[in-house]
Amino acid sequence: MNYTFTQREKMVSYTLMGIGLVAMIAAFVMDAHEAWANLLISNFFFMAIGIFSMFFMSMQYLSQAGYGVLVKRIPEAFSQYLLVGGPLMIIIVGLGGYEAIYHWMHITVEPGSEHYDKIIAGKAAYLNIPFFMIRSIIYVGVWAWCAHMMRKYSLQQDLNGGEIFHKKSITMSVIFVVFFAVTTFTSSWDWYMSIDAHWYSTLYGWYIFVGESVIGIAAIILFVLYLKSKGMMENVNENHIGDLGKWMFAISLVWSYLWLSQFLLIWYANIPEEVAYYQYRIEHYKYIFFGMLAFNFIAPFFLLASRGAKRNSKFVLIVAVLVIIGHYMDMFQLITPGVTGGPDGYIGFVEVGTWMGFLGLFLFVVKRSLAKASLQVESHPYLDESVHLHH
Amino acid sequence: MSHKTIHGIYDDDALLINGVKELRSAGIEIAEVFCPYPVHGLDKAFGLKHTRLAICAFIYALCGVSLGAFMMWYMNIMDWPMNIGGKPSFSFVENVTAFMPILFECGVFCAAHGIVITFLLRSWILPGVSNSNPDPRTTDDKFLVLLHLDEGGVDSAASILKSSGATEINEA
Repeated sequence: MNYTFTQREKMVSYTLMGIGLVAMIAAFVMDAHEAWANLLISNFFFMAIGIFSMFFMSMQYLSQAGYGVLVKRIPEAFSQYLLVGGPLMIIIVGLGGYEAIYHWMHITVEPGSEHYDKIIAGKAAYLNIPFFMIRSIIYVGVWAWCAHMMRKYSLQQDLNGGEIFHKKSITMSVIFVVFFAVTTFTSSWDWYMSIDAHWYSTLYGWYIFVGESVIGIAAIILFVLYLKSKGMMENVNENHIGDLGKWMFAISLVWSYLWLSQFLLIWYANIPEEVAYYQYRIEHYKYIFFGMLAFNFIAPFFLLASRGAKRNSKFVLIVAVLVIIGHYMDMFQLITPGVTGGPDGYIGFVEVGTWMGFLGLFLFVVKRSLAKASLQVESHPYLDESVHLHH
Repeated sequence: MSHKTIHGIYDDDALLINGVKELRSAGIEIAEVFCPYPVHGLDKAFGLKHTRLAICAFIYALCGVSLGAFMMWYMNIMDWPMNIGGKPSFSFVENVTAFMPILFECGVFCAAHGIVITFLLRSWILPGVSNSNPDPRTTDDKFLVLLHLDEGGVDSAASILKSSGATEINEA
């Protein structure tokens, strides 16, 4: 069965992009710092879905798993956002980074100057503008290339059948996973942790990676349920929903574990330069900082703990929406406090509007690539296994 | 009318599943199936209800967390207020972050021990209890279908067992 990107849905995407544009213009008029921070949050949010989708597919190729083959076209389409979001990310971290986001970019490393900062000068071998830009371009370049190649092999496998393209996909998965293992850490240090350049956490890369994964799996679930509600993907049943639900449950708990691990150690040790990060957030962003735990930990844990709930579309849908809200709050508290430098950040029209603009762009890219191929892969060694999946 | 117990013995798991399905579609209730290893899909074919052990695990974990919370409150807040990294003493809420690993461990401890004990009691596998396995060959390479039947149902059940590939049909 094929998906068609109707004119009406295109209009929805354009409307969302329009709202986003209005919000961005309003934000730039009011406060450029806030505007750039919102661009970074929103693009980060949808890049996360693309990145996790690549990881999700690669893992299934490498572990020779059959459960996800029926829904494979969805992460495949999501990963195509990397080709659009990647260049946008370069602009945001380059231009916006210099203008507003990263204060370390304005530090001189020679002592004596009024812009001298001892801590940042100590990190200058890694945190300097040319190396930062080269790294950023390499990350998004390789990610986008992997996404493009995986998609290409998948489409060619549909046309030609056989196992050649399956094996090529496995090779591509190896390349992606190895590259991703390193760059998910370095990219999160570069793009997000360096906002608070005086502060660091050794857990940060894990934390970002798992946060990205929760958004990614929630987005996959929402799209599967959306397409099912339109009568497509008739082979997907509660067994597949159950598997995706397990992913969301497990990854949400990993996120909670890492959140606590990072917080607990810093809170316990009570070293001034480390606690400053949390102290600021708890003082000025209290409701977002602690509120997100209700969305990201308590809701998935209690609503999805039982087997029946994970297999029930309604429960899974509710939790997917909740964790998406919760992880938006998480990204907001990761980025905004460090960028705006003020204690008065809140989630308002500008924040939500910018996010909706990126949502429109994301939906446009994803639905366009979904419409290009059949919704169920036509040829895959584990297709039959996936159709007959049962637990 | 007297009851009879029938043992249908198979030596292949695929035949076993087919046999079980045929028996059930003929309306014959299966008391138990003994296998040397877990047979995929047998639980559904045989109409076994899904285990409720997970619900027990959840309840035990809640008990464990409460117990842990009480223990930490009594030890470190009430009985002997502890200075935890210079945080305010005498307050459970302000020190709860430090107790999180203990609460988690207590939850896991009680859930794990609780479900093992519940499982042993529920399946009545206890020291000194005699073995309920009707045929020791089911621990090696045979599959046994245990039926409790009325006198009149034996012949039809036996013929279904026979036609679905049972190698032996014994009356116990």
